[in-house]
Amino acid sequence: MPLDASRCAKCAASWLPARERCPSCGGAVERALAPEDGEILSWTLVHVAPEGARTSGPVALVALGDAIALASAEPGAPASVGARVRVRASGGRLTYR
Amino acid sequence: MSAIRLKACLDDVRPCRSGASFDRGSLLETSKPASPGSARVPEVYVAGAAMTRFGRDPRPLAALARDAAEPALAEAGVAVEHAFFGLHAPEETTGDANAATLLASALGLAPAAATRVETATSSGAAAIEAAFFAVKSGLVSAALVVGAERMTHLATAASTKLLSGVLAERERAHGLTMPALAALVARRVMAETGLTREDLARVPVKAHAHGALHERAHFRKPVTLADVLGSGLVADPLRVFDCAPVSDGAAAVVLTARPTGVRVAAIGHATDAHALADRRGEGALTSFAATRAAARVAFERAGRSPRDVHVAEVHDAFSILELVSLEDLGFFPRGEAARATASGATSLGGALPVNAGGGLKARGHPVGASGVAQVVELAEQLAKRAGKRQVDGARVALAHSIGGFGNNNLVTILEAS
Repeated sequence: MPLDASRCAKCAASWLPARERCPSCGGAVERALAPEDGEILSWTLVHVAPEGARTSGPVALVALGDAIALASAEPGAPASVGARVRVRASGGRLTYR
Repeated sequence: MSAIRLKACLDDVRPCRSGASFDRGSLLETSKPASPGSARVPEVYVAGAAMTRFGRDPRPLAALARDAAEPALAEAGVAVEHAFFGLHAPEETTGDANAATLLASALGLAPAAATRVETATSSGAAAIEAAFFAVKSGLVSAALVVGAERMTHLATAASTKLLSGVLAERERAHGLTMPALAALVARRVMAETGLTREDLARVPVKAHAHGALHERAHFRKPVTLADVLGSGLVADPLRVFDCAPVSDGAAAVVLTARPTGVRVAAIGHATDAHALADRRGEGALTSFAATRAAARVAFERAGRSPRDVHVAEVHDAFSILELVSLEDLGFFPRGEAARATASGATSLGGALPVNAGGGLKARGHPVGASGVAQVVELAEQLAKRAGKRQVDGARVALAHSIGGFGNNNLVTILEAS
């Protein structure tokens, strides 16, 4: 399912998740859709977690069309640069498998 | 001297965006005194500089600040009219709010003005900038800057949470931490340039070698590549020895319009999008546009270029940050900082000694104090008082401080005068 995103009316940058304002130029944004399939640009696995944080698996920067989003790995999802993954909105944040 | 001579890459030191943001270059033409009746803009000098021994120091914040400020004030021998305090999070670390008044009172500065300056991990550098502006304005003839933080009494999970507070809410929602953001950048740089784990490990090895020569450093013990590579993972691929420690400490400088042997030539300061994933353009995930913009302003205002710099303090809170920042600052072409580090170019005795005082990694990182401690180190270098760490012939020096995860950065250029 395509993901809810924003596109800046002024500079045409795409943002995921959706925003109220363009983080790059401050311009107004319109609703847009981003592809759910993308590629891992980088990832990490936190070993020393902040107090009160839920323990999590790998977290990746994923290129989805011309947007970049942070997404947490679902169980068994790959953790390697260049891996093709599918992203979805789940529990208020993005996850990938 | 290294075969790799510092290539100036001023082409790379440019603002990342145009359009909505103003052209900082045009400020140069308009920064002359506005009123025809006003005298020339004063030059700003370092009249005193001191720091506590960084490390585990259980004394109250006020005692740390006094220990740094009193020798700096004694050296300057002037009454200060305004004190600027760089502190990251005293409300959370020691429960001290109203920190500017607390510290000014503890130092017996009343009725001098007192202001706290906070820009996350660059708070100390931003406090120096505020004092620089005050003296530059001609309204203040002597200002005190103190950076201080008390952190070692917190458990690791608590200090990790406190430092994660500087990240964007969306980053924290994924359980990310400061080292985790640095890990994301490190892995991307490794994928794009072939940077290796050993390349990263050489940065803290160098920092510890320098810290061993500094009697006020948190860590005075050399470490090996094997020590770094064998330390526990913090955020894959970064390990304990890739990360600066949590430290207690304070550092102070006095800035005056009265000439001394060390002049603050220029300061550049720039921001970027709060969240890493919200940065766009070439190198958005492998470099810091805020450093490039701050460096461009600082070099232009000082009338200098990267090749003029003899000694540098670079924000090495994580090993990857030193390598990325050396390139952002224009000292080495993109992808060359690791090779320069391996060749010894950034070690004491090399073409451009970087973090001769041990850097944040070995000198220690009491957050609010770090940006001030960098300038203390460089003032000692330019005054030829750095002892075993002395960089021969140092006359132009640069300090680079990163606020948050690369989004509120300052570059300060100092010169022997």
